[in-house]
Amino acid sequence: MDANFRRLYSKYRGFTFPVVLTVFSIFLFFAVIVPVIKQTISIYQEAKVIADEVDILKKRLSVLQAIDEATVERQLVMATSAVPIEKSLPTILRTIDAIGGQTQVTVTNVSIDQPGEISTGSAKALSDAERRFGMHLLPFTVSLTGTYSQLKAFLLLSTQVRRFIRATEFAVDFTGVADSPDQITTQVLFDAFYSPLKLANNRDQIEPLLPHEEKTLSDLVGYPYVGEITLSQNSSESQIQGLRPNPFSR
Amino acid sequence: MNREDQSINLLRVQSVLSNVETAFLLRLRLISIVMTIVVLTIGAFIGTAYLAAKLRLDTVTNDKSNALKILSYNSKKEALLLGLKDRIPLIDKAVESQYPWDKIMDTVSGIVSPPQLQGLTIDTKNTLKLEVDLGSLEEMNDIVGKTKEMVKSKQIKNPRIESLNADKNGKIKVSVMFTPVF
Repeated sequence: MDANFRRLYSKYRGFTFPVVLTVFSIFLFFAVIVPVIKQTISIYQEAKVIADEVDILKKRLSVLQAIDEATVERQLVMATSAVPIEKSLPTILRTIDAIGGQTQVTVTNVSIDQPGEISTGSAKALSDAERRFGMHLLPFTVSLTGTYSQLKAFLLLSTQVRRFIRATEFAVDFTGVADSPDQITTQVLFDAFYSPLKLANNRDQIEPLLPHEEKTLSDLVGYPYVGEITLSQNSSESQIQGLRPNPFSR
Repeated sequence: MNREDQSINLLRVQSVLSNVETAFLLRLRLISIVMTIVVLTIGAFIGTAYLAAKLRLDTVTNDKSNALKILSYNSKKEALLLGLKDRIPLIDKAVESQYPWDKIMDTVSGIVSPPQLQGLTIDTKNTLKLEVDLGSLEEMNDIVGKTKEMVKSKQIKNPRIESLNADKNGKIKVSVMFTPVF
């Protein structure tokens, strides 16, 4: 047996080195190189994902670094004075009062139909009408007394001021001003717009203000904030207390 | 014991491999050497690639953390910009939704004015509904005539009387609907 093995070994020992070398190469390939290849590919893929994220972050940064914080804050304050982030009942009252003052219409009553909760109402589902606008509508009724042309001016001015309100209907009533034939009393139904701030979840796509957005903001400057004018001219300091014209101020 | 028996054979035992086995052995040697060289070359290449990948991963990870750090300094600015982006479409919609009340009132005045005009409603399709109180059928004819004229001059379209009620005193309540053309 031993002699046979020795004879065989002696005969085939030349094969030993190439066989061991081949087996070692195959082992090295599958046990080391293949896993390292897999890991390298995985690292490259991970690095590519992170590199893409870095590109997006750099784009975000370049957008943000190009804008002036004070300007954008002022623009947002102006925008939220047009469409507030909450019902902001005082601004409705002040706006109606100011429009009445400017058009010499007497505001005899303002009735907010569903003032509801004082909160922003962000959790409240939108009605069909609200869904059309993509924001909440707060209906309110205003009783006005004035001449036909004054009422016309009131309605026209109501479309040209901040905060934004929208007249939808009015009803004429003569019973209260029988002694003044040119004076009429109307009840005008308005909608006041408001919408809680919804910051986009996908911030990766942040862009600077587009030309049409800049135009909207520049147009908005032309809408006087009449509620503010009334306050500064006619209201006492105590009335202003508690109101934050700039909700983003620190 | 003779001399021949006492000698030691120091010669290498001669290979007994056949020609085919010898050729196979040569090929095996060649293959094993080539395979080893290939594996080592691939190994060196992959090792370099692995190190490069690691280096790149470290670099981009650092870049990301730096960018996030700088971004955190600009978070307020970003929130303001996003808030503005949220508000602008709402402003556009609110402006678009405003009715041109001066034109509407001018159109209505061409048909009826207070005290006959008792109410005015506008719906989402810009259809105006006038609630009118009239004292006689002549006044009714007058309003119908004015409405027809305004249709002819293309100031309004689709006029229709939605309801008409007359009481025993001759008073008439009528609802007129039409769409102003601006």
